[in-house]
Amino acid sequence: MRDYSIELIDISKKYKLYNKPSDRIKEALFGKRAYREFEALKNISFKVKKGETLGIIGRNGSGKSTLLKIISGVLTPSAGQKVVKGEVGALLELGTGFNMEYTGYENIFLNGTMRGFSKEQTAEKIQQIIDFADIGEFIHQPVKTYSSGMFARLAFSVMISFKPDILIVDEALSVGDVFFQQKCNRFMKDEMTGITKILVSHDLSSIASMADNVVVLENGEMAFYGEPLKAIEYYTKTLHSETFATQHALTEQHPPVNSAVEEKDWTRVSQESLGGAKEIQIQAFRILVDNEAYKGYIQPGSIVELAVRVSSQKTSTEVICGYLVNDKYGNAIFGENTLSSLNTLISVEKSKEYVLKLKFQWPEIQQNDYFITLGIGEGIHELHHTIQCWAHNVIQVKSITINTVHALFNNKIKDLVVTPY
Amino acid sequence: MNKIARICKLVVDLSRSDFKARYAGSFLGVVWGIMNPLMTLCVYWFVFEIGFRSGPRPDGTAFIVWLACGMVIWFFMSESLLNSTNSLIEYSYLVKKISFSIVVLPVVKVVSSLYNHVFFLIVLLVIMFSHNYYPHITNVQFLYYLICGIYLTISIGLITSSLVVFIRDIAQIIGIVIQIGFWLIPIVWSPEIIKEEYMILFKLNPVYYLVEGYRDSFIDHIWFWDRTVQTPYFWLVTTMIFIVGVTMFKRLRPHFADVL
Repeated sequence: MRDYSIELIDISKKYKLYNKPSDRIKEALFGKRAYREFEALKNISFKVKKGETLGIIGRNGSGKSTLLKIISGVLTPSAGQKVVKGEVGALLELGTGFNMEYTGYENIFLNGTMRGFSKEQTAEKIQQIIDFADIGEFIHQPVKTYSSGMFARLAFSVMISFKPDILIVDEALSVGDVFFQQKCNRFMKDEMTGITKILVSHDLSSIASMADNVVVLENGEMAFYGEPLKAIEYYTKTLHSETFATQHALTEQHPPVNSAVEEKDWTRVSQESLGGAKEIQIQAFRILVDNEAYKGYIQPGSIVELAVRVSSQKTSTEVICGYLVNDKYGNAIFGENTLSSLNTLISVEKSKEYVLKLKFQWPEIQQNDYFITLGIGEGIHELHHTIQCWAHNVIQVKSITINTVHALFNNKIKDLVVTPY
Repeated sequence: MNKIARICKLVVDLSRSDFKARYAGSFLGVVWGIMNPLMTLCVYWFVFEIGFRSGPRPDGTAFIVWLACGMVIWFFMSESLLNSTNSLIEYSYLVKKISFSIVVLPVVKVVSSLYNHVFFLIVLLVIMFSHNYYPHITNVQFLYYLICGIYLTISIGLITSSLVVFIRDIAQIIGIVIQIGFWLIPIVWSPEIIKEEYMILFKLNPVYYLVEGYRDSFIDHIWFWDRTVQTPYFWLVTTMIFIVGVTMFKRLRPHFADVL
C-alpha cells in the first residue's frame, strides 16, 4: 500500500468580489461583510498516490488553475482540508516565479534560493538546466525579452532540475513547440517515475498517454474522476452536447415523417449544409466507431462505419458514395469513394430510400479535430462526375493518439537494413 | 528549528540578490543608492553650517558630526520602511507562483537596506576621524540601536506592506509621512529651540530614541541602560506595533495571492 502524497477533502474556493479594495481589508480585519461571492471550486475531493500522474481537464474557467494553485499552496482554500506531502514544484500560468528584469541565468539562482538550495548546489545544476532548456545565448538576456516558448522551456527545465516531490504542470507547456513538448513528456514519463505529477492540458492525447487518472472539472465541480479514456469520453461528450444543443432542439421540432430505419443514433442533415444537384439527396447519417456509438474520440486503427441514408428522385446505375476528412483549417486530409476504392457503382431507383454503409480504418494521423464531409455523386469517373449531394463538414470527430505522430500522419518504416560501409 | 534556519538563510540570500537587483541595469549601479543621501547630507551641512552659520553644538561638538550621526540612522529607517512597504508588490511574481513564507519579503527589504547603511557608517567614521573623534567603547553600542531600528521598521513594515496590497495609496502616504517625519526629529535642528515641556511630545516618536541613541554612541558616550525612561518606552511601543503588525499580516496573508 503506497501512501498518498496529495489528499483533498471538500476543498472549496470562493472568490469574494468586492466593489472596493478597501472593503476587503474591513472584512479581513473586522469581519464586516461587503462582497458578492463567486465559487471557483466546489467541494473537490480526491487523493493522489505517490508516483501517480493525475490529469485535470476542463474548459476555460472551470477552475483548473485555481485548483493547481491551491495544491501548490499559493492560494488558500476557503473551506476544506488539504494534505500535501513533500516539496511542490509548480509551473503555473507560464512561470515559476521569475523576475522579468533578471536574466535567465539569474532567475535560475533566484529559484534555487527560493527552493532552499545554496548557490553551490544551484551552480552544480546550472549546466543541466541550460542544456535542457536549450535556448542558446538568451540565457544571459532578461527574461522579459523571451518568447513565451523560451520562457516555458526555461521554467520547465528549472523546475525539474530542483527535483520536487510533486510536479505541477499547467497549460504552460503547450506554448512550447512539439519537439520540446515531446522532450518534456518523455522526461516526465521516463525520468520522474517516483514523482507525483499533476498535469493540466487541453491536449487530450498527451493526457491520455501520461495520466493514470483524470479529473474533469466543470464549473468548479468535479464532474468525473476515473481512467483517462473514460474521462476524455465524458469530457468531449459534454462539450459536444452543449455545442450542439441548439441543433438538437431544432431537429426535435421537425421529426422525420417517414422512416423505416431506427431513428436512434441517426442525425438528420440540415438543408443548409447540402450542396449539389440534389436529385439524390442525403437525409441522415450515423457514425459508429468499432461498432459502438461515437464516444467523443477516435483512436488510430479504429474501424469507422459511416451510414448514409439517401433518398433518390431518379433511377440511376452510376451512383458513387464517398467521404472526405478535413482538418479544422479546412485542409482536406484524406478521403475515398466507392468507385476508386471498390471499383463498383451503386444502383438506385426513383422515389426510394437507401442506407449506404461505408467502413474504413481510421489512420494514424495527428491528434486534432476533424470534420467529415459525406458525398453522393453520379458518373463513371472517380473525379469527373456530377456532384449530386455533398453534406459539408457534418460530422466532427476528435482523433486521439497515444503514440507520437510525427507530422500529419505516420508512414511506417517497413524495413531496415544495416550494412557495414 | 530547522525551519527557522531555512527562513534565515532565505532572508540572507534574497536580500543579497535584492540589493544587487536594485541597481541592475544602471550604469553606475550602486553609486546612485549612495549618491542621493550623500548629497542630501552635504546640502544640509552646507545650508546649516555655512549658510545659517549654525556653528558647533553648545557642548562643542562639530555640527557636521552631530548632523551625520542623526542622518545616518534616519536614512536607514526611511529607506528600509519605504522598501519594505512595497516589498509584496515588487515580489508579486513570487507571491503568486511559489509557496513560501511570504513574511520574509518585508524583512528582506529591511536587511538589504543594511548594505547602504554600512557604507554610511564608514562615511560617518571618516567624518569623525577628520574632526578628531577617536574610537570609544560606547561606539559599539550603535549595534544595539541598529537592532532597535531593524525591529521598529520590520514592525511598521509588516503593517504597511500588507495594507498596501489592498490600498495602493498607502505607499504615497508613507512617502509623505517620511518627509514630515524628518522634521519632527531634531536631526538638522537643535532640540534647544523647543521648550522643555513640549520636548516630551517629540520624544514620544520612537525614531527619536534611535537618532539620540546614535549620538549617545558616537558623541556623548552614554549607555542605553542609562536612558531609564526612553529605553523601556521604546521597547514597549515597538513591541505593541510588532504585535499589531504580525496579527495583521497573518490575517491578510491568505488574500495576498487573490489580489496581487
